[in-house]
Amino acid sequence: MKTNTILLTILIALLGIGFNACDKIEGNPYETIQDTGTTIDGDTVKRVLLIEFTGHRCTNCPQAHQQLQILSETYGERIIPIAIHSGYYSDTTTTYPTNYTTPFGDNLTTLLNIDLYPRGVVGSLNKDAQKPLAEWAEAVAIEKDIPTTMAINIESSIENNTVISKATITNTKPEIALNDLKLYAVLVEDSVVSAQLNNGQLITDYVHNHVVRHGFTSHLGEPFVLNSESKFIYNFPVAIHSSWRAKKLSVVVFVTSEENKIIQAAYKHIE
Amino acid sequence: MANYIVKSNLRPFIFLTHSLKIMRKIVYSLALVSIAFSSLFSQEEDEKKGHFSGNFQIDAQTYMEDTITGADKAPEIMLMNSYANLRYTYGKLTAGLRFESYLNTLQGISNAYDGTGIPYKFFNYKSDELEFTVGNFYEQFGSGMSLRAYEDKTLGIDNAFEGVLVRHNPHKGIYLKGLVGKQRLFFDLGPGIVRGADAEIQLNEAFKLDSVETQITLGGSFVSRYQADRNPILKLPENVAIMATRLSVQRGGFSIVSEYGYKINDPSADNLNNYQPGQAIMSDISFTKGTFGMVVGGKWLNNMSFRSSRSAQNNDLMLNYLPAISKNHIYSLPAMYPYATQLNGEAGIKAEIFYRLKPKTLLGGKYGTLITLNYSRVQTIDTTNLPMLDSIRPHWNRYETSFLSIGDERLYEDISIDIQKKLSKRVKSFFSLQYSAYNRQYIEGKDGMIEAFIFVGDMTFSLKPKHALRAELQFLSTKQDYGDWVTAALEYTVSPHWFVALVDQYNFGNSDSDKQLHYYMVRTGYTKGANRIQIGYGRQRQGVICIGGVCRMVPASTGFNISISSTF
Repeated sequence: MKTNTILLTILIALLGIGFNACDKIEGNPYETIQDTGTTIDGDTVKRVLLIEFTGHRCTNCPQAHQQLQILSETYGERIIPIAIHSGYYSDTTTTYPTNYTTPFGDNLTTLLNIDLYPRGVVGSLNKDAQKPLAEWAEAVAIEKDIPTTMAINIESSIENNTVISKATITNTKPEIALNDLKLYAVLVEDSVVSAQLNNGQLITDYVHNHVVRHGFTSHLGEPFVLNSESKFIYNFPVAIHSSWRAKKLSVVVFVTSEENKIIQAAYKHIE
Repeated sequence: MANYIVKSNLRPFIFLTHSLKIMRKIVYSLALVSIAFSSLFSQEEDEKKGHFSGNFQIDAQTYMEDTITGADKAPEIMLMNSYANLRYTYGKLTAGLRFESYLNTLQGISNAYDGTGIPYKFFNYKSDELEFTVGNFYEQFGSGMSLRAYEDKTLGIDNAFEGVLVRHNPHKGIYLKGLVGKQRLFFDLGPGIVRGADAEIQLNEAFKLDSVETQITLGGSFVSRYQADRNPILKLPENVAIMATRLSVQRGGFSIVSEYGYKINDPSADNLNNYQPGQAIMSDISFTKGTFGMVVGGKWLNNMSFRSSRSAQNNDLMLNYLPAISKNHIYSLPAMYPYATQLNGEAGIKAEIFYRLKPKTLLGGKYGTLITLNYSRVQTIDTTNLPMLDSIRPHWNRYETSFLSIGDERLYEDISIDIQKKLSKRVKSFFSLQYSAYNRQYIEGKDGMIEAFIFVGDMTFSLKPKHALRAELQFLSTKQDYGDWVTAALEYTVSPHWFVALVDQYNFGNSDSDKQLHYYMVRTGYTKGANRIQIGYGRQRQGVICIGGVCRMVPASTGFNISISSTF
């Protein structure tokens, strides 16, 4: 009995020490860091692709849009967000008439088994890469520090109501072998105004950004090998749909390597 | 633990080979434990006979494509969940483990379980004053407001701890518990380290007031979670604590049970990084006298989700438990729109009155009649949004609220009357009428408010000794969702071994005539002693099942199913 009491007293004391470390955050918890890196186009600064799965009937998704804006403010061009509208929350109704879904987005949603919204995918195109909103910032911070030897340069223009784009992929250190390469390219549109459910409230003039409008490649990507100059060039045109606004369109290209890891991404606003 | 995990998509025959290997490990492990016990504690003459106990369960189902219901075919054709508990007790010592196999996981339960392993194993010593467990264990403090680790295979929940648990009884009527551990996450562990302590004092026992009719019990608990902060844009609390205090008073047929909990800042995926503290209070008052009884209760909570990982969602890594205040329904149509506690905030009340009309009275009839009235209603809490810090940063506390405030939005309402009556020596009956309103718009973000009126009739006829026929008819009427439903069931039982059942659920009121479907099911089962086998075939509609206010989605399915269970 006495021994037991001593043992338990020790345990309670240990627990007491643990409980004292109870962290109360006073005041504003937002950190004020900036890590935007260089903005030179086509270099090997690692740019982190964040694929956001969202929907206009998803009441918590605007919180994710805010988080993306904070991350963009923090990391500048080092983060490239794209928004895939898919699943039940993207169904159209009389209140939500705009159809933002695409075959590329729907297929990627199925491939990655996305069943909760909002969700973010960072680092790889695998099921276990999907993150809840609370983990986006941490995932981006980790991913941006993973070095890459790959550079992506995008040239894009509009001719005869057609977006004509060319991506040049370069391995800047040919001595480092890159295997199982696949290229993905999508067209995104910014500043699209339409309805969105936000925390239970209908916002009729909500501004949607980074909306994936078209997949130049399939959701499984375009397999490629680098040539003798450690380069690969990919041309991809698309006619501009009547519902797209040319001035708000951009092209996003990203490349995966072994185990579907996303090793580099690039963004180009179409001039 | 990871050493035992085999992630696999293998076909069943390959699984059997693998299972044998794992079972061999289990038997060796238990044999070693039993030998160790025998040699170490053989001096305890009166308790030296150890014994094994355990149970086994397998649930398997085939999944066929059904273009009518939209049910998908499983690539594996058949899916299976299975487990076996083995336990060896020797005097004051107990050791045990559970082998689990999900090849692959039945639809509706997270496929993160896919694989086989031994995720649960423990060693326990229990004396009169001290008990300790190392390994895996389940535990609950009070009602579970601060901590509850439990398993429910139907929901795919298992948040067992892996660590150390100590229980101590230093004085009669005083009960202390302490634990440190991590929680189970499928075949792995969550990232958070949980520390918890609970104390309970039964005043009558502690102060030798056994003769006093009023029984009073006081309790308090404290639970803290550690999880590293790796978020570059937010300062996150690494140690988050929840504390709760509780009171139980009982006198004759009257009792009050109440618990209050408080949680410090815990920004998480559940509350979208809301830093404001959480609070909850739950109280039940009950009274019974003779054949009359009543329970009234209330619950109010704000921001009380607590998990051992701040990014966990669904039913993963839940640390506390706040049961739904609404009635638990047994029949399928009353349970079609179940309610689960809204952990970010809700205010609810409930009341239940039951009265048994005495036999051989005008209203009670020859055998008496039990009448039960139940009512529950849940509202949002009253909140005022705080202004944004700038164009993209919401205020870290999101909104303001005051304790026990009630908002304008109705989340759920349910009123029912049940009548249970034995009509003759051979006929028993149960009838129920219910109205329920479920705010699917607020809870699931779609379809507005669903209001339904439901009738249930259930009659059991004893045809001859050991032979009984049960007939069930349910009807649900609603103008929303999929419209009206009717369910009819017949079940024939030959006690104690056999039963056969036919069930048809018909969505005759669906506004889309192509979806006015029959969901039929035929089942039969055989029970002998502690062994039971059941097989069935049919369609399962898509829906939500909830147990104790915790829910999961079940997709539509069509196919054969088999269930075998055994205890020993």
